[in-house]
Amino acid sequence: MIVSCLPEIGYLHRAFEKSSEKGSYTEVIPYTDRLNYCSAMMNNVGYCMAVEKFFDLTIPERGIYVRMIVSEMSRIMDHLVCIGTNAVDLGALTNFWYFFQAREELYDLIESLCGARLTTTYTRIGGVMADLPEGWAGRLEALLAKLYKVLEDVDGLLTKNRIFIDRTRGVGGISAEDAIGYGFTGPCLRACGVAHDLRKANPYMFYDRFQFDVPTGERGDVYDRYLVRMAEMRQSLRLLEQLLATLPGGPVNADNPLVVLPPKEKVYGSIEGLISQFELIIKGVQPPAGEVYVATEAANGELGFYIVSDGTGRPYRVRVRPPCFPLMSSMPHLVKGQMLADMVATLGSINIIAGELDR
Amino acid sequence: MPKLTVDGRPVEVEAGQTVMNAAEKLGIEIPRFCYHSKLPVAGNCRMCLVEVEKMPKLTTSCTTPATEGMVVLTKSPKVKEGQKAVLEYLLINHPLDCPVCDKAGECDLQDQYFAFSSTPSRMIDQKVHKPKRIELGPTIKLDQERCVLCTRCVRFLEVYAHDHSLGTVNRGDRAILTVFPGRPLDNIYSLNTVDLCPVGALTSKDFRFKKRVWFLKNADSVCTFCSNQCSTVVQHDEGTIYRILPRENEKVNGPWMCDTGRLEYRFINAEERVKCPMVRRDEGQERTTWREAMEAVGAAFKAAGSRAAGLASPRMTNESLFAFAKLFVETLGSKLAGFVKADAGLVEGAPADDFLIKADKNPNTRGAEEIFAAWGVEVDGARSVLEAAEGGKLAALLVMDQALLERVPNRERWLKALAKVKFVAVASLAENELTRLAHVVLPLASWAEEEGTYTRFDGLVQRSWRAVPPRGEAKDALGLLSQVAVAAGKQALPLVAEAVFKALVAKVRCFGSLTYAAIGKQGAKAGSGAATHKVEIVNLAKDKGAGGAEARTW
Amino acid sequence: METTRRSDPAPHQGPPPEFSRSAVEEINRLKLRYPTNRAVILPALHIAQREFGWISDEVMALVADVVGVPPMDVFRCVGFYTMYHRRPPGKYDVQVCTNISCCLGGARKVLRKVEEKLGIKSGGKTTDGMFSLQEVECLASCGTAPVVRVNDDFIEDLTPDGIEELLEDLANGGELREKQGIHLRGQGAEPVVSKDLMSEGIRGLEGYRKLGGYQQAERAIKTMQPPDVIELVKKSGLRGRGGAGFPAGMKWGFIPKESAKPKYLCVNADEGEPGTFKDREILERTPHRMLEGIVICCWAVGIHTAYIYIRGEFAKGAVSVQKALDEAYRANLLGRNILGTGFNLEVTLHQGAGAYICGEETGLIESLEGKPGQPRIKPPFPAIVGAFGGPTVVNNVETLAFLPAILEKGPEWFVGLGSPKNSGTRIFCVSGHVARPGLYELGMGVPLRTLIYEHCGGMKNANKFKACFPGGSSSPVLTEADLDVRMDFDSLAAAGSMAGSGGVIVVDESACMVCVAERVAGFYHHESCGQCTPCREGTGWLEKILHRFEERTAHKEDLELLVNAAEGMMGRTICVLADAAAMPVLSIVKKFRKEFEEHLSPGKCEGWGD
Repeated sequence: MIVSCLPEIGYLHRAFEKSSEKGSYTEVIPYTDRLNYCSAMMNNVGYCMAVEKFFDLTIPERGIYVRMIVSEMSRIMDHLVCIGTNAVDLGALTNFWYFFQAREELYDLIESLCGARLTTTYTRIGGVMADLPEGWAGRLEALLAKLYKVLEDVDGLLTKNRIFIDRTRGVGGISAEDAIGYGFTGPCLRACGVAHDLRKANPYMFYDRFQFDVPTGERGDVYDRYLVRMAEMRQSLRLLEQLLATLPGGPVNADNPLVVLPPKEKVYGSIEGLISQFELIIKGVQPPAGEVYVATEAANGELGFYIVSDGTGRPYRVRVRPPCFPLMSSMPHLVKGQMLADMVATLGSINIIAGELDR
Repeated sequence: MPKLTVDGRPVEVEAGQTVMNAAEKLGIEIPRFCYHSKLPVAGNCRMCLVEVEKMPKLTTSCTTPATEGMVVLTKSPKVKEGQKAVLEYLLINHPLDCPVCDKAGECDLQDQYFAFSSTPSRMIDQKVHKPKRIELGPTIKLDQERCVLCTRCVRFLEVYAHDHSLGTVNRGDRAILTVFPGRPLDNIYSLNTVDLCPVGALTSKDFRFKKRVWFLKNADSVCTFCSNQCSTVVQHDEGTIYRILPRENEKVNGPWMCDTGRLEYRFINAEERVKCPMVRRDEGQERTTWREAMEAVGAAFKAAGSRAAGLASPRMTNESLFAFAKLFVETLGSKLAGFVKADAGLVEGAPADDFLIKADKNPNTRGAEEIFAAWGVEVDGARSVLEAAEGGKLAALLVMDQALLERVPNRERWLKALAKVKFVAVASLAENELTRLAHVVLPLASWAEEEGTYTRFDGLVQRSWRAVPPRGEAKDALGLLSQVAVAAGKQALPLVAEAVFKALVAKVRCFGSLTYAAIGKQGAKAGSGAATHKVEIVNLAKDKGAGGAEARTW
Repeated sequence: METTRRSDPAPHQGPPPEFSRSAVEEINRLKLRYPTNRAVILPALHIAQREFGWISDEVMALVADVVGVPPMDVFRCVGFYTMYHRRPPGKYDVQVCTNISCCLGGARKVLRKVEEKLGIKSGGKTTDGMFSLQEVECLASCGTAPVVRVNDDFIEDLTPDGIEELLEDLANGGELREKQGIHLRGQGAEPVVSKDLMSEGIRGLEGYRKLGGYQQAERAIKTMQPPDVIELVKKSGLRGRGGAGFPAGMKWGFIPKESAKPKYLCVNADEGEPGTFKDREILERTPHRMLEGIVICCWAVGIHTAYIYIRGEFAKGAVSVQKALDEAYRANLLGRNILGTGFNLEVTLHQGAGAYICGEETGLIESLEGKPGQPRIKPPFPAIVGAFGGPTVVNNVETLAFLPAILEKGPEWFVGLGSPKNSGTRIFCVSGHVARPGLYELGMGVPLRTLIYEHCGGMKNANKFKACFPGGSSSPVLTEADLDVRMDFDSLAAAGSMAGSGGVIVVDESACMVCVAERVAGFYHHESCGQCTPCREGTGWLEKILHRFEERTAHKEDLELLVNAAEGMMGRTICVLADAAAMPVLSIVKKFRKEFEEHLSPGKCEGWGD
């Protein structure tokens, strides 16, 4: 029986925050991939939204749609990892394969979108790296059905599975009050019955235009966390359907030459474009002096970026509010009085991604 | 003293000053290409247009006298439109050279387009083409397509260098900057035009394609190639110096410096530098370690006792000279120390003029004189050393003046005398005739590799900050002298320049009560008494900027 | 239209050039007439071109040495002024004017004939060295367009056959002779300036004196106080006839009475505004009337040194003026102690070298001082800081030529000849598609319709009137709706145009306005001094955009681009050449937009009606 536990973190600390002060604001974006690397694109989006708050920028509708699409895809991918690995830790190997196969298909799409699978660096301040390739939206749409099926399959294998329930129900639970006290956000908080989701509580991008539910659990234990994540994936699929159905045309990047690089034909074809390119690359985007905090509902919860600008092209301070930090800090609480085997189940259920935790 | 308002803010200026002066006094930035505070006004770029109440058209702020009650707007919609228009016209024929142009990163055209326009191009016609990569002279390459015909270079040369080599020829958009056929620009101040050029039309051949400016770091320094001691910025990256620019100092050189000072850094990076100690053996001079070298030095100086002597150089910092004098006079108990003055010999260099260049090609003759005097060393100290050597009375000699043999009028006499000295140690940057006759050669750090102060011919003391670490195993003078002291069985000398300076001020009266803080970045004279203590506000923006000399003025 | 790069000359052949002794003497004599050596550069270069035929780099260095200036100062002038040859010209340098009036008269056909006949293009030279060819800008002979200048001689009223004949004749060893057409066509009830132009030939001193010449100058010096002369001129309402229409008396009044630096009068005889050819006539045929005006002006303002800045192309005019000066000096009407009054006045003839912008008053002053004619920032105005740093009056030839008559008959008389606030007469220069192009001295208030249909005999070939430039090519065009406008300063300004230099260029329905606009833009592109950004770059851009319209490769967006490119120059430059380029083009686009729209699609236009 576990009497106490002491989480030792920091082994994946790579000085994300300090390194962000070294280069330009744009050069921070690749670092954000390496936060929660299972859902890299959501980190890209969150960070860029924070920098954009310094400016009076209007991201075009299509740009926001694209960001939302990749965010929801990332959410699904993150949950697939969490549940898949959680299950395999408990001996349920098949689900791992099913989910990781689904992830592969999603990775294929991401690769054709931005050239990378894991470390995407897809967004830019003022928009995204590039528009969706031709036919991509159709491919994603076709994939949705497959994803629904995979969820069904795993649901069938796990949700009413005696062993799974025994291993997860009542394990690693926490009360809503305690969860809030620890600073829980995301699926782990919602598993406790608190229907808090930033996409509803503080809507950003166009989340307030679309239909989706916020699933909650009751006991805040491993089983409920599993259920919440499964339900969230279905809600994400629902969102993706709606997004794809109403995807508008137009540009994806804001029309602001002080922030967004000109299109390459302009860079190579006019001195003005060339100069803009040089200035933006050499000096970087220069947000006016001040501070912002922008938070998005990432897969693990509230992912916040607190940025201080001194008016130059280099960030003065970039602080990341990692959603899984409070979760990890609650581990002693979650496993006290539990069996050693429960440790495995619990740790897997709170989805600690060290990249995000240690930064 | 007219009183006027600019952008709603009141300001008072001297009679005869312009609207531009008034705006600058308020810290309001007005873009410009052809205007320069130190040059006669041209008013041809049209970029500094402002709106003045009651004037029907926009007017150039650099040419408009400020008058009582004037109401000036520098950011009105009309002004912004005018700025965008002027930039558009400037760019319609500007070549797409940024990727191959040295000026990128410190280019007024880039910066002002970005800040004051950022409007996409509408030019689809063929641009006007002009010759490129023109050898304007030994120091400068000209690209006529990039030139915006601001004539800053022409005006500078006419006013400051009394040189009429440059001029604009042809009419309209066929106009080009050029020299008279067969008469290249060969002027000792030519590279100032490269600083002045707001675009990459005039480029320094020395710096061309060497380094992108945003990689360059700045170290404030002074030029050590004549006693005018122009304030400079040494620009470097990863231990290599790439460029030297003038640093604006109203007390010394304004924003200018001569080409000699700009280009003499090259030896610092050179492969030919002495990088490690050398010791003379039967077969000739061989490389050795500091340890072995110092053992030899120590043995020689211990044995020599007071029959030791030293020759410093008027190129050394005040701190090094003080430590040098202290070592010999106090530590080793020998008054045989001195230095060879410039006018005692022939040293090559550009002739002195009424602008910046001085005849004395050493930065610190005055400092050396004052410091040695304070230590009770006679004025002709070097001669005493020579005579002692000739008389066979010297057992150990430390020479820190690598140009000694070039400086003295009677080279043969010195060579004969040096041959009679039992042990000669030479601290030097380069291998030359002098080092080849030494028993031990010690690699010395250059002026850019050490910190210290220098005293100008007029008594102004300036600070120089270290730019790059010493090459190879070279040591700076303070470190080297301390090692000699220790090797000779004495106490070590202070190594930190500021500490030595404090001791110096205490002993050398004519330094008054100067401190490093009082000297600051613009230098101070000892007579300034309680020198104005300038509090330096750290400008986050400026300090964080990459490359681009602080010395650049718009 | 510049086909040769002026900074890329032919190589000098042979030994280093040496001036003849007489040339050196002449240059040294000239140095005495100017306060600086630099001012002698242009005259010295003309002398050099006379001696060597063209200006090589070596000749430039020689001139610099003899004049005593840095070589770059000479180079700047050689690069700026197009009359100095940078490669050896042919024995006969054929300069074909292709500015507006000449094009309207068929100059393009003449040019094509020359090209065909000689087998060369503009900028080229025949292999036997006999002929070189240049396209040039307005030669101030628009009434007898098309016009060609061969070396220094004008050949007017040309046709393709005529030029063919001339070239053949010259090739066969024939003598080159100037051939002028009829310039003066009409006068109003009381001709003033053109009084002397009625007869053939040149009015010399004797003839002029017979008409009462120099009596007013004598009277002014001997009996009138300078301020009273100024007052009189103010009362007469005489406005400048060079283009700006500024009241002459008021301008004189700006000159300070006392001045540490000497005061100067610069006579602006640099007639270059396309469509204008009146000053040339006065200079060639009645220079004394201008000289008397100069004396009167200098007496009134207290000036003792005057320079007549004459256009380089006016070779005959220069000879005529110099002769008149010599006569006047001999008769003690100029020089020291004029007519025993103690009044000293030195007048020097100074030739320009091919630059329209030297007609701008500060451009003229810069050119006089021996520099490229790049206009100065104003203020300070020439009245305070002008030539050689001293207070300077710059007056047009015709303006000065009115003074004797005004003094004789009184200011009220002069007022009565014109319309309110626009006193007197002026010599209108009508060219283009009228039956009788030429010079007409009429009262200022004459309506355009009267001018064209009564005086000029109506439209050529009875074609329909389409448009006209009332004041040179720098003026916004008028259309049929404006035919009743009075041709004075204020009325034309009210009609959205300007009276300018009085050069009335008439265009009929046979011409394409897009082509006209392109040619106008091309002129300013050629003449921009290059000093300030909007004009230097903008004039070239304007021509390029218009060229695409002409070639029918323009896009819809180019219409707005054209307007923006033109408007962007206006009001933002050192002088008004940019506005002079922009305004006519803008007026053509505004009033003939359909023609531009039509040029967006492939097709053919009337071109120049040839």
